[in-house]
Amino acid sequence: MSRAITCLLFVVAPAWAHHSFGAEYDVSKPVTLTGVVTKIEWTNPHCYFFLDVTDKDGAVTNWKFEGYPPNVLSRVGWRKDVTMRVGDTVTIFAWRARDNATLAHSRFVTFKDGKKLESGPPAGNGDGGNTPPVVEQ
Amino acid sequence: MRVVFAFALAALFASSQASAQHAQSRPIPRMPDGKPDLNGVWQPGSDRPGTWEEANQGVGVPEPGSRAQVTHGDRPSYQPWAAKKVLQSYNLRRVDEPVARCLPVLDLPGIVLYPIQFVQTPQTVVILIEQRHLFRVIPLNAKHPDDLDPAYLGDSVGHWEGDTLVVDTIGFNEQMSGMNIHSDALHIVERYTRVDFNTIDYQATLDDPKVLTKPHTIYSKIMLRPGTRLRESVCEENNQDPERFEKLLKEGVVERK
Repeated sequence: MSRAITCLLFVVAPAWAHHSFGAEYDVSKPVTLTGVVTKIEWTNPHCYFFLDVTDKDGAVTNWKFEGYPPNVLSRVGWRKDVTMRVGDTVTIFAWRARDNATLAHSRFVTFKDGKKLESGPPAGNGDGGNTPPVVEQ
Repeated sequence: MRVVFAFALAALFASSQASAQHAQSRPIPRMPDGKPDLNGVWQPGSDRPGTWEEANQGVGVPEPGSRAQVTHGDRPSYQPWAAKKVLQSYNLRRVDEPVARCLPVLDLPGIVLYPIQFVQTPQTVVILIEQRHLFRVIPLNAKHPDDLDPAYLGDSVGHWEGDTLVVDTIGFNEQMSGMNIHSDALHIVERYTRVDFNTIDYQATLDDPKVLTKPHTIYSKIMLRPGTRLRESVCEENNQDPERFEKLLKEGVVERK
Protein backbone atom coordinates (compact mmCIF):
# COMPACT_ATOMS: atom_id res chain seq x y z
CA MET A 1 0.00 0.00 0.00
CA SER A 2 2.72 2.43 0.97
CA ARG A 3 4.51 1.57 -2.27
CA ALA A 4 1.42 2.47 -4.26
CA ILE A 5 1.24 5.84 -2.51
CA THR A 6 4.91 6.50 -3.24
CA CYS A 7 4.19 5.96 -6.90
CA LEU A 8 1.16 8.21 -6.89
CA LEU A 9 2.51 11.14 -4.93
CA PHE A 10 5.59 13.13 -5.72
CA VAL A 11 7.22 16.27 -4.52
CA VAL A 12 7.06 18.99 -7.13
CA ALA A 13 10.66 19.73 -8.06
CA PRO A 14 11.50 23.10 -6.50
CA ALA A 15 12.51 25.70 -9.05
CA TRP A 16 14.49 28.11 -6.92
CA ALA A 17 17.05 29.14 -9.40
CA HIS A 18 17.40 30.62 -12.80
CA HIS A 19 19.17 27.54 -14.15
CA SER A 20 20.20 24.06 -13.19
CA PHE A 21 23.08 23.89 -10.68
CA GLY A 22 24.58 20.92 -12.48
CA ALA A 23 24.96 22.93 -15.69
CA GLU A 24 28.12 24.49 -14.30
CA TYR A 25 28.87 23.36 -10.75
CA ASP A 26 30.01 20.17 -9.04
CA VAL A 27 28.42 19.27 -5.68
CA SER A 28 31.38 17.01 -4.88
CA LYS A 29 33.74 20.01 -4.94
CA PRO A 30 32.86 22.22 -1.92
CA VAL A 31 35.38 24.96 -1.18
CA THR A 32 35.83 27.60 1.53
CA LEU A 33 38.00 30.57 0.53
CA THR A 34 39.04 33.78 2.25
CA GLY A 35 40.07 36.78 0.21
CA VAL A 36 39.67 40.44 -0.62
CA VAL A 37 36.64 41.61 -2.64
CA THR A 38 37.74 43.14 -5.97
CA LYS A 39 34.41 43.57 -7.78
CA ILE A 40 30.66 43.13 -7.17
CA GLU A 41 28.15 42.73 -10.02
CA TRP A 42 24.79 43.45 -8.32
CA THR A 43 22.76 42.10 -11.26
CA ASN A 44 19.97 39.80 -12.41
CA PRO A 45 19.50 36.93 -12.80
CA HIS A 46 22.56 36.41 -10.58
CA CYS A 47 24.98 38.55 -8.63
CA TYR A 48 28.68 37.88 -9.04
CA PHE A 49 31.36 38.50 -6.40
CA PHE A 50 35.07 38.56 -7.33
CA LEU A 51 37.71 37.79 -4.70
CA ASP A 52 41.52 37.96 -4.70
CA VAL A 53 42.63 34.81 -2.88
CA THR A 54 46.26 34.45 -1.79
CA ASP A 55 47.62 30.91 -1.54
CA LYS A 56 50.28 29.66 0.88
CA ASP A 57 53.05 30.56 -1.56
CA GLY A 58 51.80 34.13 -1.87
CA ALA A 59 50.32 33.75 -5.35
CA VAL A 60 47.11 35.72 -5.87
CA THR A 61 44.20 34.33 -7.90
CA ASN A 62 41.01 36.19 -8.73
CA TRP A 63 37.92 33.99 -8.15
CA LYS A 64 34.40 34.56 -9.43
CA PHE A 65 31.41 33.52 -7.28
CA GLU A 66 27.80 33.30 -8.45
CA GLY A 67 25.04 34.31 -6.01
CA TYR A 68 21.36 35.17 -5.61
CA PRO A 69 19.88 38.10 -7.59
CA PRO A 70 19.52 41.48 -5.79
CA ASN A 71 15.85 40.99 -4.83
CA VAL A 72 16.61 37.77 -2.95
CA LEU A 73 19.84 39.09 -1.39
CA SER A 74 17.90 42.12 -0.09
CA ARG A 75 15.39 39.85 1.63
CA VAL A 76 18.05 37.74 3.34
CA GLY A 77 19.71 40.78 4.87
CA TRP A 78 22.05 42.23 2.23
CA ARG A 79 22.28 45.93 1.35
CA LYS A 80 23.98 47.04 -1.86
CA ASP A 81 27.27 48.91 -1.22
CA VAL A 82 26.85 48.47 2.57
CA THR A 83 26.99 44.77 3.45
CA MET A 84 30.03 44.00 1.32
CA ARG A 85 32.34 46.48 -0.41
CA VAL A 86 35.38 46.28 -2.62
CA GLY A 87 38.40 45.92 -0.35
CA ASP A 88 36.58 43.94 2.37
CA THR A 89 38.03 40.61 3.49
CA VAL A 90 35.38 37.88 3.49
CA THR A 91 35.15 34.08 3.60
CA ILE A 92 32.91 32.33 1.07
CA PHE A 93 31.58 28.77 1.13
CA ALA A 94 30.88 27.56 -2.38
CA TRP A 95 30.92 24.67 -4.84
CA ARG A 96 33.47 24.77 -7.66
CA ALA A 97 32.63 24.79 -11.35
CA ARG A 98 33.11 21.64 -13.38
CA ASP A 99 35.49 23.13 -15.90
CA ASN A 100 36.61 26.54 -14.63
CA ALA A 101 39.30 26.54 -11.94
CA THR A 102 38.40 29.95 -10.52
CA LEU A 103 34.59 29.92 -10.69
CA ALA A 104 32.28 28.75 -7.89
CA HIS A 105 28.63 28.78 -6.79
CA SER A 106 28.42 30.58 -3.44
CA ARG A 107 26.14 29.55 -0.56
CA PHE A 108 27.33 31.62 2.46
CA VAL A 109 29.51 34.67 2.99
CA THR A 110 31.09 35.26 6.41
CA PHE A 111 32.22 38.81 7.16
CA LYS A 112 35.13 40.03 9.30
CA ASP A 113 32.86 40.65 12.30
CA GLY A 114 31.68 37.02 12.19
CA LYS A 115 28.30 37.82 10.66
CA LYS A 116 27.24 35.16 8.15
CA LEU A 117 24.68 35.64 5.38
CA GLU A 118 23.18 33.39 2.77
CA SER A 119 24.45 34.34 -0.67
CA GLY A 120 23.10 31.61 -2.95
CA PRO A 121 20.80 28.59 -3.03
CA PRO A 122 21.76 25.06 -1.99
CA ALA A 123 23.62 22.72 -4.32
CA GLY A 124 21.51 20.82 -6.77
CA ASN A 125 18.68 23.34 -7.04
CA GLY A 126 16.86 23.49 -10.34
CA ASP A 127 18.38 20.16 -11.35
CA GLY A 128 15.10 18.31 -11.38
CA GLY A 129 16.33 15.78 -8.84
CA ASN A 130 18.58 12.81 -9.36
CA THR A 131 15.98 10.64 -11.05
CA PRO A 132 14.28 11.39 -14.35
CA PRO A 133 10.69 12.69 -14.13
CA VAL A 134 9.52 9.79 -16.29
CA VAL A 135 10.45 6.14 -16.58
CA GLU A 136 12.49 5.44 -19.70
CA GLN A 137 10.31 3.78 -22.30
CA MET B 1 19.02 39.88 37.54
CA ARG B 2 18.88 36.43 35.97
CA VAL B 3 15.28 36.06 37.15
CA VAL B 4 14.37 39.39 35.54
CA PHE B 5 16.05 38.27 32.30
CA ALA B 6 14.19 34.95 32.38
CA PHE B 7 10.90 36.75 32.95
CA ALA B 8 11.65 39.15 30.09
CA LEU B 9 12.48 36.22 27.80
CA ALA B 10 9.33 34.35 28.82
CA ALA B 11 7.23 37.49 28.24
CA LEU B 12 8.83 38.01 24.84
CA PHE B 13 8.17 34.39 23.87
CA ALA B 14 4.59 34.56 25.13
CA SER B 15 3.97 37.81 23.27
CA SER B 16 5.33 36.44 19.96
CA GLN B 17 3.23 33.28 20.40
CA ALA B 18 0.22 35.41 21.22
CA SER B 19 0.76 37.66 18.21
CA ALA B 20 1.00 34.65 15.86
CA GLN B 21 -2.16 33.19 17.40
CA HIS B 22 -3.85 36.57 17.24
CA ALA B 23 -3.08 36.84 13.51
CA GLN B 24 -4.33 33.30 13.04
CA SER B 25 -7.58 34.02 14.84
CA ARG B 26 -8.22 37.35 13.08
CA PRO B 27 -11.19 37.11 10.74
CA ILE B 28 -10.63 36.75 7.02
CA PRO B 29 -10.73 40.28 5.55
CA ARG B 30 -13.60 40.81 3.12
CA MET B 31 -14.29 43.18 0.22
CA PRO B 32 -17.41 45.40 0.30
CA ASP B 33 -19.10 42.75 -1.91
CA GLY B 34 -18.50 40.14 0.83
CA LYS B 35 -15.87 38.16 -1.07
CA PRO B 36 -12.60 37.29 0.68
CA ASP B 37 -10.07 40.11 0.24
CA LEU B 38 -6.87 38.65 -1.24
CA ASN B 39 -5.14 42.03 -1.67
CA GLY B 40 -1.58 41.95 -0.39
CA VAL B 41 1.84 40.41 -0.84
CA TRP B 42 2.11 36.65 -0.38
CA GLN B 43 4.76 33.90 -0.42
CA PRO B 44 3.84 30.84 -2.50
CA GLY B 45 4.98 27.35 -1.51
CA SER B 46 5.32 28.15 2.20
CA ASP B 47 3.26 27.14 5.24
CA ARG B 48 4.93 29.38 7.83
CA PRO B 49 3.00 32.43 9.11
CA GLY B 50 4.65 35.79 9.83
CA THR B 51 6.67 38.41 8.04
CA TRP B 52 9.15 37.36 5.34
CA GLU B 53 11.98 37.59 7.89
CA GLU B 54 10.11 35.56 10.55
CA ALA B 55 9.00 32.86 8.14
CA ASN B 56 12.34 32.49 6.36
CA GLN B 57 14.75 32.92 9.24
CA GLY B 58 17.95 30.94 9.34
CA VAL B 59 18.65 29.42 5.98
CA GLY B 60 16.02 30.97 3.73
CA VAL B 61 16.32 28.19 1.23
CA PRO B 62 17.01 24.96 3.12
CA GLU B 63 19.18 22.13 1.90
CA PRO B 64 17.17 19.72 -0.25
CA GLY B 65 15.33 17.17 1.88
CA SER B 66 15.85 19.04 5.17
CA ARG B 67 12.31 20.45 5.21
CA ALA B 68 9.09 18.99 3.83
CA GLN B 69 8.06 20.54 0.52
CA VAL B 70 4.79 22.42 0.85
CA THR B 71 3.90 21.95 -2.83
CA HIS B 72 3.05 18.36 -3.65
CA GLY B 73 0.70 16.40 -5.85
CA ASP B 74 0.13 13.67 -8.38
CA ARG B 75 2.83 12.83 -10.88
CA PRO B 76 1.84 13.79 -14.44
CA SER B 77 0.94 10.72 -16.46
CA TYR B 78 2.41 11.29 -19.94
CA GLN B 79 1.48 9.63 -23.19
CA PRO B 80 4.46 7.57 -24.47
CA TRP B 81 5.61 10.14 -27.09
CA ALA B 82 5.43 12.92 -24.51
CA ALA B 83 7.28 10.86 -21.90
CA LYS B 84 10.14 10.47 -24.39
CA LYS B 85 10.24 14.22 -24.94
CA VAL B 86 10.24 14.93 -21.19
CA LEU B 87 13.13 12.51 -20.73
CA GLN B 88 15.00 14.20 -23.56
CA SER B 89 14.46 17.57 -21.89
CA TYR B 90 15.64 16.15 -18.53
CA ASN B 91 18.81 14.86 -20.16
CA LEU B 92 19.42 18.25 -21.79
CA ARG B 93 18.86 20.25 -18.61
CA ARG B 94 22.58 20.90 -18.23
CA VAL B 95 23.02 22.44 -21.64
CA ASP B 96 19.71 24.06 -22.38
CA GLU B 97 16.48 25.01 -20.64
CA PRO B 98 13.91 27.73 -21.39
CA VAL B 99 14.18 29.28 -17.93
CA ALA B 100 17.90 29.87 -18.38
CA ARG B 101 17.09 31.77 -21.57
CA CYS B 102 14.82 34.07 -19.51
CA LEU B 103 11.63 32.78 -21.15
CA PRO B 104 8.47 33.06 -19.03
CA VAL B 105 7.03 29.98 -17.34
CA LEU B 106 3.77 29.67 -15.41
CA ASP B 107 5.11 28.31 -12.12
CA LEU B 108 2.26 27.05 -9.98
CA PRO B 109 1.64 28.35 -7.41
CA GLY B 110 4.94 30.23 -7.64
CA ILE B 111 8.56 30.02 -6.55
CA VAL B 112 9.05 30.10 -2.78
CA LEU B 113 11.94 32.59 -3.05
CA TYR B 114 9.88 35.26 -4.78
CA PRO B 115 6.71 37.00 -3.55
CA ILE B 116 3.52 37.50 -5.53
CA GLN B 117 0.93 40.25 -5.06
CA PHE B 118 -2.85 40.06 -5.45
CA VAL B 119 -4.64 43.20 -6.64
CA GLN B 120 -8.37 42.61 -6.40
CA THR B 121 -11.47 44.50 -7.46
CA PRO B 122 -15.03 43.13 -7.79
CA GLN B 123 -14.42 42.77 -11.57
CA THR B 124 -10.80 41.66 -11.82
CA VAL B 125 -8.03 39.90 -9.91
CA VAL B 126 -4.45 40.68 -10.96
CA ILE B 127 -1.56 38.52 -9.79
CA LEU B 128 1.81 40.26 -9.99
CA ILE B 129 4.73 37.84 -10.00
CA GLU B 130 8.10 39.25 -8.96
CA GLN B 131 10.18 36.51 -10.57
CA ARG B 132 10.67 37.45 -14.24
CA HIS B 133 8.30 40.44 -13.89
CA LEU B 134 5.17 38.55 -14.94
CA PHE B 135 1.53 39.41 -14.39
CA ARG B 136 -1.78 37.60 -14.78
CA VAL B 137 -4.92 39.65 -15.40
CA ILE B 138 -7.96 37.57 -14.43
CA PRO B 139 -11.34 39.09 -15.37
CA LEU B 140 -14.15 37.74 -13.18
CA ASN B 141 -17.37 36.26 -14.58
CA ALA B 142 -15.97 36.66 -18.10
CA LYS B 143 -15.49 34.31 -21.04
CA HIS B 144 -12.19 33.53 -22.72
CA PRO B 145 -11.85 35.66 -25.88
CA ASP B 146 -12.46 34.01 -29.26
CA ASP B 147 -9.20 35.28 -30.75
CA LEU B 148 -6.72 33.77 -28.31
CA ASP B 149 -3.04 34.07 -29.19
CA PRO B 150 -0.90 31.22 -27.87
CA ALA B 151 0.79 32.57 -24.74
CA TYR B 152 3.38 31.53 -22.16
CA LEU B 153 0.99 32.18 -19.28
CA GLY B 154 -2.20 31.44 -21.22
CA ASP B 155 -5.48 33.33 -20.84
CA SER B 156 -7.23 33.33 -17.46
CA VAL B 157 -10.78 34.05 -16.35
CA GLY B 158 -12.14 33.66 -12.84
CA HIS B 159 -15.24 33.42 -10.70
CA TRP B 160 -16.11 32.94 -7.05
CA GLU B 161 -17.54 29.66 -5.77
CA GLY B 162 -18.48 30.67 -2.23
CA ASP B 163 -15.21 31.81 -0.64
CA THR B 164 -13.02 30.13 -3.29
CA LEU B 165 -11.60 32.02 -6.26
CA VAL B 166 -11.65 29.63 -9.22
CA VAL B 167 -9.33 30.53 -12.12
CA ASP B 168 -9.66 28.83 -15.50
CA THR B 169 -6.68 29.11 -17.87
CA ILE B 170 -6.32 28.02 -21.52
CA GLY B 171 -4.56 29.43 -24.60
CA PHE B 172 -1.03 28.20 -23.91
CA ASN B 173 1.74 27.99 -26.46
CA GLU B 174 3.64 24.73 -26.86
CA GLN B 175 6.86 25.76 -25.14
CA MET B 176 8.51 23.37 -22.77
CA SER B 177 7.84 24.48 -19.23
CA GLY B 178 11.06 23.71 -17.38
CA MET B 179 11.38 19.96 -17.72
CA ASN B 180 7.68 19.46 -18.34
CA ILE B 181 5.88 19.44 -21.63
CA HIS B 182 2.48 20.80 -22.51
CA SER B 183 0.47 21.41 -25.67
CA ASP B 184 -1.92 24.13 -26.78
CA ALA B 185 -4.67 21.98 -25.25
CA LEU B 186 -3.42 22.54 -21.69
CA HIS B 187 -6.30 23.50 -19.42
CA ILE B 188 -5.63 24.52 -15.82
CA VAL B 189 -8.25 25.06 -13.12
CA GLU B 190 -6.88 26.69 -9.96
CA ARG B 191 -8.69 27.11 -6.67
CA TYR B 192 -7.58 29.80 -4.18
CA THR B 193 -9.29 29.52 -0.76
CA ARG B 194 -8.30 31.93 2.02
CA VAL B 195 -8.80 29.57 4.96
CA ASP B 196 -7.57 31.96 7.66
CA PHE B 197 -5.99 35.41 7.98
CA ASN B 198 -2.53 34.13 6.99
CA THR B 199 -3.24 31.29 4.61
CA ILE B 200 -4.54 30.56 1.12
CA ASP B 201 -5.07 26.87 0.37
CA TYR B 202 -4.08 26.34 -3.25
CA GLN B 203 -5.07 23.59 -5.65
CA ALA B 204 -4.49 23.30 -9.40
CA THR B 205 -5.76 20.61 -11.74
CA LEU B 206 -3.90 20.32 -15.05
CA ASP B 207 -5.42 18.54 -18.01
CA ASP B 208 -3.81 18.21 -21.43
CA PRO B 209 -5.47 15.51 -23.56
CA LYS B 210 -2.79 15.79 -26.27
CA VAL B 211 0.04 15.09 -23.80
CA LEU B 212 -1.30 13.44 -20.63
CA THR B 213 -3.26 10.22 -20.17
CA LYS B 214 -5.31 11.81 -17.36
CA PRO B 215 -5.51 15.10 -15.43
CA HIS B 216 -3.34 15.60 -12.35
CA THR B 217 -3.63 17.88 -9.35
CA ILE B 218 -1.09 19.75 -7.25
CA TYR B 219 -1.64 21.21 -3.79
CA SER B 220 0.13 23.99 -1.94
CA LYS B 221 -0.21 26.89 0.45
CA ILE B 222 0.34 30.62 -0.05
CA MET B 223 1.15 32.72 3.04
CA LEU B 224 0.48 36.42 3.71
CA ARG B 225 3.71 38.42 4.12
CA PRO B 226 2.94 41.75 5.80
CA GLY B 227 5.52 44.45 5.07
CA THR B 228 7.04 42.74 2.03
CA ARG B 229 7.15 44.61 -1.27
CA LEU B 230 7.77 43.35 -4.79
CA ARG B 231 11.17 44.24 -6.18
CA GLU B 232 12.63 44.48 -9.67
CA SER B 233 13.78 41.32 -11.44
CA VAL B 234 15.11 41.72 -14.98
CA CYS B 235 16.42 38.36 -16.13
CA GLU B 236 18.01 39.68 -19.32
CA GLU B 237 20.33 42.10 -17.50
CA ASN B 238 23.39 39.89 -17.01
CA ASN B 239 22.33 36.44 -18.19
CA GLN B 240 25.52 34.49 -18.85
CA ASP B 241 23.83 31.14 -19.47
CA PRO B 242 23.40 31.01 -23.27
CA GLU B 243 27.13 31.67 -23.67
CA ARG B 244 27.87 29.10 -20.96
CA PHE B 245 25.74 26.44 -22.66
CA GLU B 246 27.57 26.93 -25.94
CA LYS B 247 30.93 26.74 -24.17
CA LEU B 248 30.02 23.55 -22.29
CA LEU B 249 28.87 21.93 -25.52
CA LYS B 250 31.87 23.10 -27.53
CA GLU B 251 34.38 21.89 -24.95
CA GLY B 252 32.60 18.57 -24.58
CA VAL B 253 32.06 19.08 -20.83
CA VAL B 254 28.47 18.02 -21.43
CA GLU B 255 26.94 16.39 -24.47
CA ARG B 256 23.69 17.14 -26.22
CA LYS B 257 22.20 13.65 -26.15
